[in-house]
Amino acid sequence: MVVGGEIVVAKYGDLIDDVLEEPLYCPRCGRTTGLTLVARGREAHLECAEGHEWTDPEVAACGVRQLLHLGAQGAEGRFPGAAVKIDMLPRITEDRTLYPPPPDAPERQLRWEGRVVTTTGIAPLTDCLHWARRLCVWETSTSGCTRLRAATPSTRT
Amino acid sequence: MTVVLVALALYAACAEQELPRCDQVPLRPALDLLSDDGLRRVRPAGVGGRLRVTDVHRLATASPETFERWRRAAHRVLDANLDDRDAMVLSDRNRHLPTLPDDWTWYAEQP
Repeated sequence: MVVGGEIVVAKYGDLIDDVLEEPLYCPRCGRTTGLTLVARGREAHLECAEGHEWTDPEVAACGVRQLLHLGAQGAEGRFPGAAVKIDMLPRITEDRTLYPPPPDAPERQLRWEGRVVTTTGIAPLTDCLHWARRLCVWETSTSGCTRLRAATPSTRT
Repeated sequence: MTVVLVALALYAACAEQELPRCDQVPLRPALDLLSDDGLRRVRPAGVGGRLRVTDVHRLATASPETFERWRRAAHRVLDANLDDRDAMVLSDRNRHLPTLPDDWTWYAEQP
């Protein structure tokens, strides 16, 4: 994707022992605007208008995808850097009624579920659903594979 | 459905070992559970949380091809999170994962 303005990232400066906000620039021609961000799998690189290519530790594929996602939503976001900060999974608008528990559940499974609830205060599947969403949100922006699948109409995430 | 299948894999792996905390579940056995369609039939027993009616219906009626697509996507998610470390436990992933509000607006309010 082509970025209009400068891409500002937070960088650690060892001289001042603090984090500095600075724009990314082309190491050969010094341009800071009109840069293109390219993400492929887990890798990402930058290209300037002259066609120079380089990489930067702050530019990861997940940051590029998140920026693209923000752009598609019409939000003016700043570059998220190398961390996953944005939930790219779509919200589902459908009936959210919960299925009643089966009447003939195995005694052993019931006892285990009871122990988890007593220990952690949260139902195991509820906990697992929350973890699963976080694992998926991470994978979606990092490697981008599931995003392609999520985009096909017949597949829900 | 990818999220649901990942959750069912974690739940089933945790139940198999009868772990008292879900965040202690190792990812490798959960990944192995995604190698066939066994998770189609996994349901929480009672106090263990609930799936949505829509998801139970989909798990029960999806064609083998459709299920296979969900299964592969879920497998890919867990495989990426395993990060080539066979001893990876769910809580080891915590610092890598984004923090999401625990509000269930994306699924359903759990009783």
